[in-house]
Amino acid sequence: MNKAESILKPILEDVNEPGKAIVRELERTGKKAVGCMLEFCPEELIYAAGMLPVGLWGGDVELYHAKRYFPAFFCAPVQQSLELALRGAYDGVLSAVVVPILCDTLKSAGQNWRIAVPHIPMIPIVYPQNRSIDAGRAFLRGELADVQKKLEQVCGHAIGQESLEQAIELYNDYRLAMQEFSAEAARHADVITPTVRHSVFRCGLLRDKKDYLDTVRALTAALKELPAVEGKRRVAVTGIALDIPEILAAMDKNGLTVTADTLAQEYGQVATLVPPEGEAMERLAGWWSRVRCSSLAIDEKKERADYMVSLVAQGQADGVVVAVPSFCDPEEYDYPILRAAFERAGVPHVYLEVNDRSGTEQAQSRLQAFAELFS
Amino acid sequence: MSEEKIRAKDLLNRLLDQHYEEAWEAKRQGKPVGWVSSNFPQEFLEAMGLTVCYPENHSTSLSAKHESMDMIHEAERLGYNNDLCGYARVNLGFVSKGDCESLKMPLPDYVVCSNNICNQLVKWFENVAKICDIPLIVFDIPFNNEYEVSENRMEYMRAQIPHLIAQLEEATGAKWDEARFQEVMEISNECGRQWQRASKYFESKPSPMNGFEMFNYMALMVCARGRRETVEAIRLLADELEACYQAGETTFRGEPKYRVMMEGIACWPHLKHNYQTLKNSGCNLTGTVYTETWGRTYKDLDEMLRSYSVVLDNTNVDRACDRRVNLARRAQCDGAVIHMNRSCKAWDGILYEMERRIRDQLNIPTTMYDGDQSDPRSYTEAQYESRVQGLCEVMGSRKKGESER
Repeated sequence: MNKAESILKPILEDVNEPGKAIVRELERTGKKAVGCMLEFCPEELIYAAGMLPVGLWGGDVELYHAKRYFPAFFCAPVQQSLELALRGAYDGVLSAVVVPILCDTLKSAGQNWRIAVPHIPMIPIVYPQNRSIDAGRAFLRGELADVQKKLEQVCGHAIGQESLEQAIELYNDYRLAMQEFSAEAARHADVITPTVRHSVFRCGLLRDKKDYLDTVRALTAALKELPAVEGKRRVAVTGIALDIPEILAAMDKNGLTVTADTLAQEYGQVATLVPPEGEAMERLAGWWSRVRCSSLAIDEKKERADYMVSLVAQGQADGVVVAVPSFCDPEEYDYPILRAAFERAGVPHVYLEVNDRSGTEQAQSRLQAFAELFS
Repeated sequence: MSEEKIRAKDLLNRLLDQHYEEAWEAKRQGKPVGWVSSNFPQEFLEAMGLTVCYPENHSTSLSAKHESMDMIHEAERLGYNNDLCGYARVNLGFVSKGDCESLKMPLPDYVVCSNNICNQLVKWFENVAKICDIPLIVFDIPFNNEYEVSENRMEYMRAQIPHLIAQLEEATGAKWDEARFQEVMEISNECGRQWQRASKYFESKPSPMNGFEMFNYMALMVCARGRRETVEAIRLLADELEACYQAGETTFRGEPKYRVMMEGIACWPHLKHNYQTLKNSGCNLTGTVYTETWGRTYKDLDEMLRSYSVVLDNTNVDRACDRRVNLARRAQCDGAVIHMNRSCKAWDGILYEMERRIRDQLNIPTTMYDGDQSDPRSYTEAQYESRVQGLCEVMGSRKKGESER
């Protein structure tokens, strides 16, 4: 086992058993955990409060209790997270959950959580649509201040300005480290398979960023010591998340290498740095106005489509995998625009509808056929 | 020769025809035509004298006229998932085709929307803007997690107004007219008052009307509630209902045994079947928040903004439930028919909780059916009929129990 592989082993283990990993981190750090439901949460505020932000992206669980709140046609991660909460999986683990209101489903996700899981406080945050004007940034500052107040009730003390500045710097360092990892990972198709690459990003949503930053830096350094092995079937992935083990395994099996992504769960978490200007809250609010290529942040020109095309045009990828969660309307609106752009530019792409671990056969077949395009 | 008395229905049809004709005339004259979302604060647009169309209205009409599937097929051919809002799919299909059979609407030169209806609207209009290569103007009305509208939200809405006006001026060449804005607010208020008057009779017992008729008038409230002629049309409707009520008459054709609340956006492609099934079971529609929401009145700009903030799907679950419970109580409903509208996640995500609270707080039976506001494929007549039958059996046994006591 080389150095990179020895660093990767515990990462893969944590991602296979995220619940266990979080409990271990809580015991190790002595911190409280705050769940971050799906895409974009102000993790820096949670971290500055001395708590551990952990990603809440559902899990492999059969839906039963959640059906009292959601009809079947709502996205799996939201329903699974509520189901796990109702089964008591987060009792004694999560001290609160932050729900970013980025789509219609997350509106009701927050409301249903508040009613169904009253013992784990729900802290909502609404992000502005008009995110690049002063009024939008001011509104977001107000929302962040509200989140801060509620987090302070959970942690039991005030969040100091200095702690927040430090958390912002830590998270920016983490983002830069993950960006560097992503670039290096693309050069090691033999070690960094799609499953491994996903796991490195996913693990960042489970562990304390301060320690994980060192791990990622060590991993990237270890990768740099290895000879480059370029993938023969290099793809860029776009969507919300591609975290179904069976689908990732199909990508591995078909020799695909992920060289870039704009997944909200993966590179989307680290793509945008918190800007340096202003006091801490202003900086956090300014982050949202800089987010690009996401179906959740207003994008009048649909730059996302141009960006994905450019990845192929510039030789960073040979094709695109579009991973759309079932019932995810922000992604479903973007897909026809993406498809038209890909067809115009001659970019090969495959559309995967991602739901839960059952019924992934169609996605696996599509990936196989897609991989054969590059044979 | 005596002049024949104009009825509210005739005036409604005339004004709706006029609405589309004005848009075409603007196009002919080379003036920009905008597309706007239904719960956008129209006062801003009317004050600037802009010519606009409302795609939600248009999709509704095509759906009710059984023409939605042509557009939906086109949208799905382009890659739009059948999971998406039916109005959006109809409209995006229409944008692609550029034409439809019965209700022709000019394509837009700019689009304007608010997200107080839902976030999907922003994505939908974003796509229209991209496809047509035209400006997208958004007035952000954030979701209310709390019962009341927070000061942070109020401040944000107020602060966006100069930006909104600047964007509208740039897109259209029109100029802001503050005096006209004040006048439009007055007209809109009067329109809201007349709508409330009509709604009061719609909800009264006995009801002077077949409740489904209220849906027809909603189209006018969506597209022209800042206009004097709309005030007159709605005043005429309220007058007619008042006269009917005073005379003890009703336009409901059947024996009104039960008063029901309908929850959710109308199932336009099957509205006739909805209506006939209820009518044949002796159910009259006497309350729906779907129409109630247009009775908007306010005293000043802040109240106006607040009223747009607390529209149906922009409130937290407690306020949403209270609105339904209060309406059903006021309208003395015996039961509720709830539409699990496949199109509308903003509504459906809290629908089960709303049903529970309606049942628990009012002790009335409810039934839920599957359908869609535009896509006829989501509805089955047999399911609707059996659900209504079940509801009527419970309402009937309760009435029997009450009379025996």
